[in-house]
Amino acid sequence: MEYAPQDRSTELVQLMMKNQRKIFAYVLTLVPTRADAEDILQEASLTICEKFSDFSPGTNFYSWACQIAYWKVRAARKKYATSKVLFNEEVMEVIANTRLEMEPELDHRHGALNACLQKLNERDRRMILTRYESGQNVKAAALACGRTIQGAYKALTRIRKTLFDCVSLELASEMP
Amino acid sequence: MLSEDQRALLFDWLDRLLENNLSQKEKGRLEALVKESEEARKIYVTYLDLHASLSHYADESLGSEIEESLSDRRDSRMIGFLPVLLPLAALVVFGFYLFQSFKGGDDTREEPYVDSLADSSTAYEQPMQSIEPDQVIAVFTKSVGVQWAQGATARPEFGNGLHPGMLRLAAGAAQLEFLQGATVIIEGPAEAELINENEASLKLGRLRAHVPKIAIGFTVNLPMGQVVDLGTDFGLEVYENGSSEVYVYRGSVRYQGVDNEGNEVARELTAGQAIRLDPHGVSSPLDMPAGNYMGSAELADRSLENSQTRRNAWLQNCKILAREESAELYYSFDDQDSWSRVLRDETSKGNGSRDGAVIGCSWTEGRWPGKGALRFTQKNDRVCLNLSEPLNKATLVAWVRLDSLGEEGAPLVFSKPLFNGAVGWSINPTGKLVLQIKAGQSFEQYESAVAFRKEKIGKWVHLATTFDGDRKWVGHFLNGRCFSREKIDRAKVLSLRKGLLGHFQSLAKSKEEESLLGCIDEFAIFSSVWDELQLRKLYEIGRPRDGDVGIGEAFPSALPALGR
Repeated sequence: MEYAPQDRSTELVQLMMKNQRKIFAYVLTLVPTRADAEDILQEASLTICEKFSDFSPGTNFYSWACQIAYWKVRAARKKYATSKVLFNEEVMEVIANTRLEMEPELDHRHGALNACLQKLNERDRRMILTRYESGQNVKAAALACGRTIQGAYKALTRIRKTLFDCVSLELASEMP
Repeated sequence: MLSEDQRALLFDWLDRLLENNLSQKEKGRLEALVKESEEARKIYVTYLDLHASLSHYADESLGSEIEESLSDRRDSRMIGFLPVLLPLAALVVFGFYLFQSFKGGDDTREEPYVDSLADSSTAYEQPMQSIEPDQVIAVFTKSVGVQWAQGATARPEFGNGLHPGMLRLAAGAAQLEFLQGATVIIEGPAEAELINENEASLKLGRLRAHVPKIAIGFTVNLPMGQVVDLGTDFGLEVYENGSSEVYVYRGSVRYQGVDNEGNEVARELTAGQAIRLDPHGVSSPLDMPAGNYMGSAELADRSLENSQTRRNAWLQNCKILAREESAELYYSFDDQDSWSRVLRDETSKGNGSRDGAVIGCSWTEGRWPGKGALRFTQKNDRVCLNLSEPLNKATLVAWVRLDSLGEEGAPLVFSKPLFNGAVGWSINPTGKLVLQIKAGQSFEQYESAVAFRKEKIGKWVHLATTFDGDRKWVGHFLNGRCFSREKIDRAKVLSLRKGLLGHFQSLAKSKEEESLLGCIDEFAIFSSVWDELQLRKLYEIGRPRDGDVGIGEAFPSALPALGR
């Protein structure tokens, strides 16, 4: 087992810093539960460290890292049957490919989402961000915002849809 | 192309997928749709990417809150890393950690894990061993009923960063999150010393640790040895006679110590195993206890439950206050619509004429989830109110959270300076609570010692000022404690005619066009003089959560009582 020599560790850190969010998003597309996706990301990260000497500088680190992540998702699928991974292998592959094709658009959407979050009223923003904090869930969001659990489910559905539409609108308005 | 119905169904499935609420049958239908339709596939990818981005922004927002709450006492470089670099550090450091662990075979595994992390890490800007005394190494994140021991020097408040040193807990449970990632709950009575970002010593009491992979190597020193975590949940208890117990709920830990004859005692424990170490360091097997340790989830639930209980008690008290004979004006800020521009007076005295008119301010959350508050951010933000009768005795009370003091200080309530007894109640730029009163043609000013120090910015505080025109005293109170009394010169009455809440009016030495920068979520005026005991009770009922250490506790009632 070989690991990145110390002199390439800085390069590895920089590449991971730049791409970490996107690799996580890639995994989450295939494994929608955050905790499961984080486990897989961690396994993938170990392999990325381990195999970093195979990575050719100047090539696309994100694509290379996603290949490793993809195999980790496949391995998880075999290991845990369907409990973590949503789709069968065939569908998983077409989704992974669709995601890679859409990367430039998804990058834009990520940026636009920040602006759309600022447009929400404070209560909605608090609710959605509480729901998405690490380790939190709908119950926590409901309690934080003084809603019933059922009300929180409805509110989160509405807020997500609002954000989805807002981001689409932002992107459309940026188009020439 | 998807029909409207198909799109609606798709979004419904996606939402329920994200909340782990999708049946197997629906999963199958979603899979089929995504496989067949490129449009559905793109929507799926876009929606799941939104899901990932929201996690990212939520963590970023949480990181900023922690960063803000640590204010200027923190090591800015280290905390600034947290939202972005800590997960990254997990990836890289953990990878290198394994490298270190495996490359040298079993011999290297005998080295302390913390050392191997520190040595191999290039992601941290400073070695983990060189901890400065003022460096933040953990954050105080949750509490239930915390009471610090008598004489304890460290009395952190909720959200504070913690430095190396002793924590002495008389009662309650405190959750600490170490910067390396371990979460620890200490149940009082307990004494623990925080050593660095991944190490503590338990001298007495009970501790439960949850250690994610990133923090493997988290170490807790016990009287006769140390427990080194190997990725796990574990519990510890140290008794007054020096004996201790180690319980492993998940994963494994290594206990390494010596007995009193100098013999090495080493045990590796896995899930479901427990040992007892007598005061001489000798170990013996122990049965696992049945769920008597508090976990993070339980603590979080109890913490929320606790805040709901507090809110309910406060609501009960609101009703009592509203019926209080001397209540002239009472804004509870509760149960108001988010679009409402009228601040309801809860007393029945004015028939609506004492309701406030909200100008500019926005509704936000108050001391508890679901409680309303008004936020003042713009210079014209204010609430217009009117109390036409002058009062020769009064108590002004407010719960306030300041975002900053501002160059001119923070106005609480100011009346039109045309009338005799016109009042200005504010915190001045140096943090003193000030009551200005118009007496004849001049203005008298009664100010406290510095009450509002920097650490109170961003926290809810209870302010009260009493005016006794008969006995000629003004008293200032913070968090239910009196810390200033002054003899009145000439003023006989106090008037709130044409008043503004949260905004200056041009009394002496105050600018007209400035508002408070922060939130108010309760305000009342009584036509009687409340004593310290009554105000303390009001504060106790209204404070946001158990375990808050208000400034009142740090400021003993040093000033002479009335009439002395």
